[in-house]
Amino acid sequence: MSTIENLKIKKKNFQLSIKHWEILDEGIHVLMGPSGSGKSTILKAMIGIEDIQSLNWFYKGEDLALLPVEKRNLGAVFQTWDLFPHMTAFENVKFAADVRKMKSDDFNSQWEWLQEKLKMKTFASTLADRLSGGEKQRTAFARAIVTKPRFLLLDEPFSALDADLRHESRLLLRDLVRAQKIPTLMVTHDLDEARLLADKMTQIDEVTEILR
Amino acid sequence: MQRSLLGFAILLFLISPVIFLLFSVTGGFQIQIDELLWAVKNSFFQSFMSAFFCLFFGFIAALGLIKTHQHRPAIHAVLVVLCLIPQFIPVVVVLISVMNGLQPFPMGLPGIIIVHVVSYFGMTAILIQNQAQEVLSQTSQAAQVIGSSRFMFYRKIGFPLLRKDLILIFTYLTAVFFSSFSVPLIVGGGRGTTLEVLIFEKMRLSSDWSPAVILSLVQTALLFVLSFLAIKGRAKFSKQQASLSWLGSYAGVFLILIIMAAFFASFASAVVDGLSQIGNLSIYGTDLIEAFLASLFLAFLTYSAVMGFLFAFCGLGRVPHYLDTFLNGYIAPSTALTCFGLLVYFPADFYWSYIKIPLAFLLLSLPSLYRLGWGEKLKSLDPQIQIARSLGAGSFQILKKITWPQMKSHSRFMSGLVATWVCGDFAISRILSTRDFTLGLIVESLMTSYRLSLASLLSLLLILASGLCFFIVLGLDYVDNRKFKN
Repeated sequence: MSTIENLKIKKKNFQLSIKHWEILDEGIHVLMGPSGSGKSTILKAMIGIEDIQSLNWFYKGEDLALLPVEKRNLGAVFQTWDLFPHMTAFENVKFAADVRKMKSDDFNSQWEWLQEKLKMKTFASTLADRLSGGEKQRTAFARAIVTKPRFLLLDEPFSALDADLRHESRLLLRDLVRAQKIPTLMVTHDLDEARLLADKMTQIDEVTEILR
Repeated sequence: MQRSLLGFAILLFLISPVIFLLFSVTGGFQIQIDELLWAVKNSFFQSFMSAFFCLFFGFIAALGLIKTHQHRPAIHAVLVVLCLIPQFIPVVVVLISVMNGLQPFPMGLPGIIIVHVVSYFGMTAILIQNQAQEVLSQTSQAAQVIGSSRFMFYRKIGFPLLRKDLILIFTYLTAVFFSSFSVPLIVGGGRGTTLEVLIFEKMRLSSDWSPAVILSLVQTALLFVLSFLAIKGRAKFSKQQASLSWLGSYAGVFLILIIMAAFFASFASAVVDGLSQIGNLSIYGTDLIEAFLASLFLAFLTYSAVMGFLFAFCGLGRVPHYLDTFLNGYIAPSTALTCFGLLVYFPADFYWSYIKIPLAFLLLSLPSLYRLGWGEKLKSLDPQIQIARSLGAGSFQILKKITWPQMKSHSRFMSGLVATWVCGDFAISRILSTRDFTLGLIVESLMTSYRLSLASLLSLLLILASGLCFFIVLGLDYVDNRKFKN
């Protein structure tokens, strides 16, 4: 288990606090809650892009919250996927490998595997701007896990997909993180999605004290 | 930490002229209150009246843009270009056209107001049309279905909904006109001295600069208040693409066409008059070629300075909130104050003009460039920057691989725009240089000595230099994009 402690978020008309929360360090842990309940903010705080001074995140004896964002070795996929539009799908994935200084042999084998698994061959050299929604999402997944991060954080990654594509993508994600053994925390408000994917599910109000 | 320091350094750079001035104040202040009040009164009068008439004519012209927006896109595009022309061509061309078209030209405050209105009515029309599209789309369709007449809609719904936006546009224009320098300098005459021109005169004519320092600080305080009012309380509406055509009017189309036709005809007639004096150009000898090259060189230096600064700005990644607020609120930096600050700080030697003029343009144009969409574009990269950081990318990697490749083309266009302004400039160069070494300065000297025909002829060279400058930048961008694609 990894543990989150002392997470206190204070915004203009919104406050929440988590004193202690245990997160699975293998499989998929789903954080459920309605829109606007602060799920994404919690995720951003864990990634380090929401500056929370008091936070502790203990994982395998190390407090990840003390590390700067770039040293936390996390993978993240947001609702909007946020691909780099001036790069191809391949270049998006390669960028992540380059910044983590991944050895080229390791990258090549990992890329081969991801390309196969995510069916990326047909669009690997297409500019991200020109990809379809499903292709963008697969590229975002590949970019997030290519370096085998210590944790994968997902913020409603299926919400912008069509209903028929959504189910296929959910199964793909489940297979992917199981095969790569990357512990994953996903936030969603969709109960069906949570039931399908979760090895453990937490309702946001079970762990947080929300003061509005 | 590095980001905070860089953000702070940028802010400090932008306000450096004020800091230079504050540190240059020594001893007691001597200022004639009557003179100050008179200049402040003139500044307020010309800026209020210019803004009022701009809004009046801009509103009518906006009706034309609204009429053609969805059903006549080609005509609409032509009208938008016509509206923007006075904003992008050198100010001297506007001055020559208006001064030649209105004979005898009313020098003083009326002259300033007329030139301002011709320069800005088109841009005002575009601003009003954009606001109307945003604010009135939802209600106009509902009103049309109910059976409301156009007049009734404007009276009961349109004006009440747009009132706040119109007031904001009016305040924004007032701030811009309040800090206008080049127009009052040429057409203000003895009776139309504004605060900006008074500062310039104090610097030029007196060895004691303390009155100019005080005037500059008064000017800055007034501009700050106007800028603050202009950005306050802007309401947000969802963008809709509903047709507002029934709210528009062809009267607006005709107004734009008539004003711009008169503008071009007047300029053409001035140039034709100038052709008869082409022989007089021989007195300049090779000076004209040197001035042409000096203008281009200054434009190149300014282009490089702006590009360098925008590159450094991209290094910020995410723009700190305070800097974003400052750049959005700093609507109209004072030309006189900025130039005065540089005069105080740099040596008076002529060759320093090549440093001072690009720096002045950098300081004066950055807030405008930021508001012209460059800032929004940079801010739109925030999610990508966050992702890149979460993937482990450092600041330099983000700048090199993510931010700059996506901002480069836009930055080049913006820097090119400033470079074309430099080509056509005379006002900033007049303050910062001791010699008439650019085309703009030679044209301005001719105008102030009432040789309008010759000035008109030379302004063609000015347009050529500006156009050349802009097309070189476009060419650079094209080549770079091709290289990138290959």
